[in-house]
Amino acid sequence: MLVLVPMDSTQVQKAKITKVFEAKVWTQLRIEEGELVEVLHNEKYDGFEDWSEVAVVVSDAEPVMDFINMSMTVLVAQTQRTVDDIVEAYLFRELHDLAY
Amino acid sequence: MDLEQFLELFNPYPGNHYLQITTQPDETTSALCKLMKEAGGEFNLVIYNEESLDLSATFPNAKIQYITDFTQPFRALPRTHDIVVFKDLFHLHKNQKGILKIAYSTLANAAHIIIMQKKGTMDFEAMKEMLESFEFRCANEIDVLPGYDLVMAKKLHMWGNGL
Repeated sequence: MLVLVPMDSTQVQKAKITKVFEAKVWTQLRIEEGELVEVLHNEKYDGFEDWSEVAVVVSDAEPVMDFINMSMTVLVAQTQRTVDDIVEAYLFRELHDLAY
Repeated sequence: MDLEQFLELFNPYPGNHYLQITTQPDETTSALCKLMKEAGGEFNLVIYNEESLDLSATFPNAKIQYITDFTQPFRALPRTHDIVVFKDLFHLHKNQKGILKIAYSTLANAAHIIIMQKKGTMDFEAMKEMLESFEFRCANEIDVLPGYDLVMAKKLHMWGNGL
């Protein structure tokens, strides 16, 4: 599963999720068989070669229409901030569905 | 091109949305655009072409999306369209599974997908199998347009992916 997250830096350990418009870099996490196997970065959310399947945002009020338009599922990380937390929350299904 | 038989495949109602994805618009595009205008529906067009075209004058009523890269997905809101037509594009796209998935999610329930290509460029059996594996049902080859191979299938409610 390919998960797209707006981040503030490319340093995987330190980077934190940001608002969509404030994203400095977009990170694509490849999660397979219960673990994170690859992390890619790109300046644009649609610049990755493989198409992301899930977008993770920080709140329900984020502009997510374009992700929905690209057939992605949108999930909300209410409390998780780092890549590790987001991956763990994704695996344990703790990310929220978008409330609208 | 005699489109009479081809247009019998379509039965638009007011408020219906049709989507055509193609490399180069032709008579079928204009005919579908006209059909939707008369029915009070909406016609959306996706153009995959390495050269940039400006078709807004030719299809003033259509919402047009231009894509230059054949690896890229097109954009379409979930459950918006009542028919998705791939014309001369499916075999050229580098991510066929990806675009089929988008087509599935953008179709309403019991809506149709049509894949048409110039005669001789489509393997019917493989195409029908592929549609079946993406939860499209009742795939049929229909010979209604001279010079074209055409396969039509249906997204059904609560089958496979369900919603």
